[in-house]
Amino acid sequence: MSKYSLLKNKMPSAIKKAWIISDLLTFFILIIIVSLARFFTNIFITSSWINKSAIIFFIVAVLATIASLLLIPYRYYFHRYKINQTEVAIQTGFFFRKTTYIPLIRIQHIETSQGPILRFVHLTELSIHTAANVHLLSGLDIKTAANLRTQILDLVEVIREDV
Amino acid sequence: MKMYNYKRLHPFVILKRSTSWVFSFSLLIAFDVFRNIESKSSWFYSIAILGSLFFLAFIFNLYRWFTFKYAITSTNLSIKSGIFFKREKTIPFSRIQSIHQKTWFLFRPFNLVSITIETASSSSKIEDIVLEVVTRSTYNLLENLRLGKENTIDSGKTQIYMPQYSVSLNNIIIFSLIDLDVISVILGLITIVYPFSHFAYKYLNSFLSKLFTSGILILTFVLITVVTLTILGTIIKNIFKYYKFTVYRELNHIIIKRGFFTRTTLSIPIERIQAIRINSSLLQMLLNIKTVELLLASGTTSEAKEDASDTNFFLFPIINGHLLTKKLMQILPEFTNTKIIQKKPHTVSCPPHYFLSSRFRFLNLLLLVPLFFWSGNWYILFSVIILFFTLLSFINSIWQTKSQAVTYYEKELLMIRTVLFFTRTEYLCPLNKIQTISISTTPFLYYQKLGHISFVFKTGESASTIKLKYLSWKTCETIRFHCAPRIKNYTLIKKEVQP
Repeated sequence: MSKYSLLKNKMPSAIKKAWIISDLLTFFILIIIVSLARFFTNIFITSSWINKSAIIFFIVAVLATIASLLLIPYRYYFHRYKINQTEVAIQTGFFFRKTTYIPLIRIQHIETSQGPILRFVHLTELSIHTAANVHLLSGLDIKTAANLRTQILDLVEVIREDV
Repeated sequence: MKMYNYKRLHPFVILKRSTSWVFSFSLLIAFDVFRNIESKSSWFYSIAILGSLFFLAFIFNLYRWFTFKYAITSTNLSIKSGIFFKREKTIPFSRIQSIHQKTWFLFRPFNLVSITIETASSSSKIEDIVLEVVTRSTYNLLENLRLGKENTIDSGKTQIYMPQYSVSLNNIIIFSLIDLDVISVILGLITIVYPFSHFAYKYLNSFLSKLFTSGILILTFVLITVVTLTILGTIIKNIFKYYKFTVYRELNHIIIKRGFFTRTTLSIPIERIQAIRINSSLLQMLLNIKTVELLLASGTTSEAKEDASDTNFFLFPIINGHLLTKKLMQILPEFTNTKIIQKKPHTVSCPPHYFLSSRFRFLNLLLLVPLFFWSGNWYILFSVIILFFTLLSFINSIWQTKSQAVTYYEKELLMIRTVLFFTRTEYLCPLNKIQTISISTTPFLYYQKLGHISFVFKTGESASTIKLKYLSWKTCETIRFHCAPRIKNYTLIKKEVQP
């Protein structure tokens, strides 16, 4: 059996940092929400199940965060993209592997955006819009994103077709 | 800048809009009248309120009528509206996805129609262009210009095309029965109600229980009448909706006419059809009937255009399986293999993987585990229900894996067949309408050289995905290779962006 064929380009390694930060942030937000909910339900209802379920939820959240943090190297390894003359390909997933091929002719427009986390690690997000849906290529460094954008736009200009 | 010859809508639009606006309040006012019906003053007040509302609406719509202008040139339609915020819209004919023409039965003697023009705007913010009340000659002018015909001004003599497909009254009734899945509804009701009444008769014999049983009987009676009434209602609705449903081909357009009270004419350019969907459910397969729908890119779910808000554009609401290819050949030769007969269709084999595709259905059986700890009397019923649904989903997945197929016609067309909820669905789609293709797998499946492939289309405001599961990896790759658009003579320009 041949190895699962991976695409050429990896994301910049700074994306790992962004993933770690976002994992931790979601974890803390979850904890805050759960503790707030526990606090307010304790005011109105008295039941031992509130504390128990909060503990269960806490354990689940910790485990999920740890698992997601441990999987970051694999996620990084399988998170790839490619652009050639006809299409953009985006590959994601360690367990559920998925490769999406977007023909350049079908691209309607391209957006770049940068959230606070991505700005912290000096990366940017490229969203490729087709007529039907949006494909995100998250975590390119700014220069590559601009480069890619101009490349794709050049191609799209040459070969344009209507919906 | 070219000078446009701007025109206003027909003045009837003021009346129509104001009455329909006031009519939406009529229920409230009627309620107010019935609250104290005997006092004369309340009547007077209600009528005064209604009158002033109408007056307000009239003034507002007069303003709207006055400021709304449209012009038709040889290549586009442009619309001006507003005094304070002036807006101008220009729609090139080449960007039009479909045109709906509606004739309200009250306006028929005056030869007035309403035209809705749909473009493929992806966001719902961009509303469709509605010319609400215009004369029929405007529509004819628009159509003639759009179709690139010679006679533009004189529209009195329009060509009469023979309808290539029409639906009889009988077929409409069958269609609405099948569409409702009436039989399954009735069977379900009977299976629910019958054991209950039986149970009630047999075991509860005291006077109270008699009351109870008669209550159940009355309830069943009411239920059955409700069901029959809804069936009748849908049949009547469908008769009015699909009254004299005819389809014909005119140059590069498909024209669909239907409706009793409001006669709708829908014209769709062929190259705007995203895909054709052919459905046949179990019942339909038994009767050898198929339902054919057009999938279009124009969004039709917003509230502003109530009548056009069908998400289904039926091409043939009901058609005999034998006739289908013949009719498609007549009306849409682009979507059959007649035009491309010389090129051999390339059928990709999808070997059925019975166990793989159905293995997760058996997880439903885990629901049986808590039943062992159940102390109630209903565990037999629950377990039977669980087993029944597991069996159903198992059969469905077996059927799905057995019947999925892909046929590829050289550079033109892709035919995908799959099964969803006991309905066999065939998609005929031009290759250039596939937006994206994705291939997915898991390490376990990849070890067995298997993968899923999914195609994404634009239908309406959102995307619709067709997924074929458990194909061999090689098949996925070949399908993707065949469906990818070919672009010749283009080399990627390497540009260095200055930081």
